Amino acid sequence: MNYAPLTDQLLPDNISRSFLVPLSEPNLLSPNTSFIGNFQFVWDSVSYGAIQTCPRKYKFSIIDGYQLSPTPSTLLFGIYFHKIQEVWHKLLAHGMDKDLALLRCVRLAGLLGENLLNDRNERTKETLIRATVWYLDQFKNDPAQTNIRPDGTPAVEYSFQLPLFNIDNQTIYLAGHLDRVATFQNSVYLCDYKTTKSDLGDRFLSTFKPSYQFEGYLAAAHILSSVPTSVFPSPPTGLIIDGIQLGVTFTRFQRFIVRITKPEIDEYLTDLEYTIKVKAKGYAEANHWPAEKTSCHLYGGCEFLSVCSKPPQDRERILKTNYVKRTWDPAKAR
Amino acid sequence: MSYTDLLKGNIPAESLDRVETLNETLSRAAADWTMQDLETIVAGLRTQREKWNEAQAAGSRKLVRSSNVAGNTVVKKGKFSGLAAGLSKVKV
Repeated sequence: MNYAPLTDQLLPDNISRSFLVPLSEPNLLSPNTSFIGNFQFVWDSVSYGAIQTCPRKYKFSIIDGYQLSPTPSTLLFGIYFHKIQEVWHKLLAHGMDKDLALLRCVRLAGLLGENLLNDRNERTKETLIRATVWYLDQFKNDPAQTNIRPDGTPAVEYSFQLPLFNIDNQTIYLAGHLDRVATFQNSVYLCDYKTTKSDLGDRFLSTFKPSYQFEGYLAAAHILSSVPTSVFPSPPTGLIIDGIQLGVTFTRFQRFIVRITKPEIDEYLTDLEYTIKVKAKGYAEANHWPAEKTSCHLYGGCEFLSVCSKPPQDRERILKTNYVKRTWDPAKAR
Repeated sequence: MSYTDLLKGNIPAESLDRVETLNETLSRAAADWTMQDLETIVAGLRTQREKWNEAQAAGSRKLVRSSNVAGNTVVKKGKFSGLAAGLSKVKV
């Protein structure tokens, strides 16, 4: 089933329309076009982060495509909040009145929120709707104005795939999806939303730098800004991150600006190149993906902890029983 | 009760069941929400935010639950079926 926010209708999957929001995850498994054999040539922040965290985790999650089932609400809530914000900006770009667009976003938040597991009190249908209404009330007249693409559409969920370098005549690409490109005080920024149940203090802010995700986005934006018809009139100044603290009965917001310098971006690109040439290429040729065991217990434990804690001969069975296969393909635009 | 009666405000007391809490309105299926429900949800969440802001300003740690915020007025079924009947579902 899909939701059509322009007309406030539910439409079955067999009806095609340009602006639809799927209410469930379609096509869990499809051929991964970012790979040749077991070597990845289109990289994004998720796959880069995975191989740096643990090559075996990279094998399970990116190459084999195993993911926890059902999707944890900690992950799904953020995906849904991003989708609702994308729909908000698209509705405004279609000329819809802000008050009506808010009602459509509330409907969408309700529909999506009904998919959330009831495993986290701060990430429920109710808290998703509350975060949507309070956030859009607070940023109804956002001083960061969304940039417009050359085709007239807003620069939200802006997909990119950029050639970086070659390995053995194979071009390696950096890919990703920018949530929003906006202009604030005559400078260009990349915008993102981050939800947490913790305080929006210095510790929260420190998680964004260094960051595979944001350095990768800014690297891409710098490259894109050299293209005359791109959505970037100038290289981006930095990131605008809207922190969203989720409570059971409240939502709190804090806007942060993060700056990452050109030398830091150059370092990111050099590190990425060496990681792919040395680690990814080496492991792919050996077809062996060693575990990085210092990562197993970080951040509440790796999602594959229950697999790696069992003998090698049992792991495939556990993966097939407790996980679903879902293709993670950075080459696919959203 | 006719639609004209409703427009004039001639609503017999027995026609009205009670006022839902915001919590109850939110717990109904989103596909069934009418435009009035959606507007009520937004208004209810704004009220909740005002109360929460007041509590914060007063230094209180008081929780403002959606079960303590008014939601929609529920009209008894069979008495009056409103103009909006929820989200349209296109069947093919």
